[in-house]
Amino acid sequence: MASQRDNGGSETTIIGTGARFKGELVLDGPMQIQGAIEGTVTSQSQVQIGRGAQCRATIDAATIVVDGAVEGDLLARERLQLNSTSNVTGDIAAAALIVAEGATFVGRVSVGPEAVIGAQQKQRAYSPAAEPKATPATGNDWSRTGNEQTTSTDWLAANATTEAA
Amino acid sequence: MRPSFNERDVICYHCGVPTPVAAAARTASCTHCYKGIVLDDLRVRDAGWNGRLSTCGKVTIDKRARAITRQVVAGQGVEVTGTLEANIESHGPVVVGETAHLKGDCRAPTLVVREGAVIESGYYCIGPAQADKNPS
Repeated sequence: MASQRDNGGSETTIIGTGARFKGELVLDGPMQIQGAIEGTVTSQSQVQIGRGAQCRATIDAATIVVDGAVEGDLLARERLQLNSTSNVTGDIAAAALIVAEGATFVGRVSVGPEAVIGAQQKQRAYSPAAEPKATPATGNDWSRTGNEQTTSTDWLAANATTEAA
Repeated sequence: MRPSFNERDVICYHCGVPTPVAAAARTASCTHCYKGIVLDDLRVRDAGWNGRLSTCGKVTIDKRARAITRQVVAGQGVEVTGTLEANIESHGPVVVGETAHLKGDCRAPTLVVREGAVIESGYYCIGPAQADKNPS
């Protein structure tokens, strides 16, 4: 993985031909994918997928330009451009979509400002951060693992016993 | 023997088989399934359209038009600049203009979406291989 300063002054992250990346990648600047990537890419700027790239990833970026093959969901907060050599399999949500003649695509499409809001809400709902976190065990209460949760039936039973007493 | 110089082949939207028709014909019968086919281009200019839109030609939904139909079948492509709520099945390019509002699924060899178009969630199969699949 290399980075290169473009004319605008921001660093472009490049996954070169032959390079392989697996995992979650969060960027502020633009990115170019020419190699293989698997996982999640989040960028505040542009993500460009080159012609020879092998991309099996969920991409969330301001602008996404696709020239190669992508297998995964794409969320473009500003613009998604599918060029004539692109081949996308996955769901698309974008504020604006430009598809060139010759592009191949299979998946669900939502375009417009509302589509992006809806996709972001869906992402938040499914992200691990949205799940309730277990409270860590304290030093005093060493026997509690933090994963214990009082169920509604437990709570009712506890109430019943206090009332009876 | 039938003259072949003023004939053309169209793909029947009922059975998906190419059928020869007269060059100047506006309607014909499919030689394979014997069902009637429309060869003209269809254009929805304004107001609403609730009927079926099937033709071997091109379907155009104008800027002020609002077409709500179950399915649009077009042999030579679809151009939308107005509102269209339908499942699109096209053997030609589907062009979605800047002012278009599209709702429904789409199967076509090529798709062109201009900046500003609004597409509500729908399942899209775009590519030459996708268009050859005949669902009917």
